[in-house]
Amino acid sequence: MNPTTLPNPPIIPLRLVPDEDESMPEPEALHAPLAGEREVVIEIDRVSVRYGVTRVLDEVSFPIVRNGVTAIIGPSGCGKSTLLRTLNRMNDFQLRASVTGEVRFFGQNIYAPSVNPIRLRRHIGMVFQRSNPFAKSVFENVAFGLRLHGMATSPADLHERAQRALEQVGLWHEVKDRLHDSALTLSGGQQQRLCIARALAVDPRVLLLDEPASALDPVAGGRIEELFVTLKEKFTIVIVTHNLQQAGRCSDFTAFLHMGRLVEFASTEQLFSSPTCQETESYISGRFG
Amino acid sequence: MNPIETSADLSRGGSRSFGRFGVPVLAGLTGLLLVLVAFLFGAILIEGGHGLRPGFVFGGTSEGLFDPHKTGVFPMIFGTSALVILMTVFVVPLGVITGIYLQEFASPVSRLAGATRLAVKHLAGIPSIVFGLFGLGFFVHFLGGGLDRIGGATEPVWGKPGLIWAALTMAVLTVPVVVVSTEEALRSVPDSIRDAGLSLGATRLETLRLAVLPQAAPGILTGGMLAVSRGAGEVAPILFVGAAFSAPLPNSLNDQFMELGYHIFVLSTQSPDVDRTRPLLFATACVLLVLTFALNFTAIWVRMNLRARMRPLH
Repeated sequence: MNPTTLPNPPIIPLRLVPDEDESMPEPEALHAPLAGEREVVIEIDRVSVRYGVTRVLDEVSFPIVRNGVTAIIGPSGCGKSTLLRTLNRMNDFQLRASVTGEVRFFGQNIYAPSVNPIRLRRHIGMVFQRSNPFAKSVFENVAFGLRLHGMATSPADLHERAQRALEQVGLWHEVKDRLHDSALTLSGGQQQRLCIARALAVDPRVLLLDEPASALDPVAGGRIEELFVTLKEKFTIVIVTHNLQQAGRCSDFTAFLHMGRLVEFASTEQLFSSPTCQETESYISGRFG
Repeated sequence: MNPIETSADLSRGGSRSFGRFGVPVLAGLTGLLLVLVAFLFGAILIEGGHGLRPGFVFGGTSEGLFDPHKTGVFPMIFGTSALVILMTVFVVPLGVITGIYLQEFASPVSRLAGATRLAVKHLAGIPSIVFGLFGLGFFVHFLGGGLDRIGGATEPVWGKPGLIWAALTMAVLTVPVVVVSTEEALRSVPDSIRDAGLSLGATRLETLRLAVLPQAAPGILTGGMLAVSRGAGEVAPILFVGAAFSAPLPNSLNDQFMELGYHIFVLSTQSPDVDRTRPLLFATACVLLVLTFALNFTAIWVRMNLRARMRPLH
């Protein structure tokens, strides 16, 4: 093949600094109507995160709406996972990470000195990119948080709550006969759903998922996506993904981050069909990232 | 235009080739090691295998220490076991807690952690006879003598060689093994497990106790057992701090005791008739070897059992 016949890739200029013009509206202006319609569980308010001298997030603001699925999308290294970890203070364990701005969970700033992050994380559960079941039985994995927080009143209640959590992720029928086998005997997709069940068992208000399907095959990943439809009736879901189709299919709201900035936040339908920003359009049409 | 190559040299040989004899030479040298080990065990078993008879293993020394037909090694087995158990009681908590602190709680830039790691590393390189002298100076004279002065004893009660000082000396000797294996065992537990615990609302301590330690347990246990079997075989550290040429069974922590390794040393250097006590020497060595092996195999067995419970079945 003669290389000279290949067309040059189109060069899309990236605006790294917001212009003065109206193509980059204030985030408040974007989400104001949305917040008016539905209750806001988490209000992200001008959140910036630095690791040492590196600024990873820069004045990000948008709301997380109750019983909705909010997707956070953006190219690798844009700060998606950092933002997610900021919402339940898992960043606390990152050396030299400093957070400014406020994250208000039901109106309370979770970075206020009076807030106990341990108690916060009980209400804001998290599922990670790589499934991370404990090297215990299937049952003990789900029961971990229940036991920890003393939520079950009796062994029967413990079992019932564990069963309910497993049913919520559609795993009950697959594992009910092997509850006492090691969780590591499950397939990758089952392990990830087990991790979701483990997080759901303690009845969190919000579930944060950090690319939950990226390490799974499409079928197993699809099953995770399907869960959101039923789960969001009870929980509020925030999902980080670099899979645009996934975000488009399963989320109600989408936030697009790039280089640590929030470029656009809108309902998923609007963001994917008629994005306001040129940058968003370039990204969702696959021209960068 | 360059001519198009239509052939390639695929023939054997050339200077980069390892040759027909390369791998067999490596395998031969490896095999040599195996032969050496086999000779070692073979020699001790053939010459000392008779030591494994019950009369010898459970026999006492009252009939004469150097009479191969009448003496036994029960006091030494008892002394070695007491020493090792007591040492474990001291070394495991100290070593495991240090390892946990270093790996789980110390900041990576912590001076205390850095200094401790350095100290532990150097501790592991000190010749064991030096531990013996340290034990005599620090434990027996300083600690023991100090206790006696405070208690106003006219005769040394604690300020003389005894089981407890030997065990403490041995604990100092083996603590690096426990610290390092605890650290390694904890390091082998992926951070995602810690994330999982913390994200469920567990504190760091709860996460450690309920999720990380159970997974690190086989490795930590192995470290403990390695320390024990190392301790069981050492002679030099206890030369001055508790081991006795001949003593009754110890019945208090400050009593002197007989010990297998030390007894082998005694048999080979203090015997009035070396040729006559030679079978005795090998019999005792054989008992020590079997005891150390039993400890090692127990460690392996326990670890395999713990691991099997965590591994997928297929």
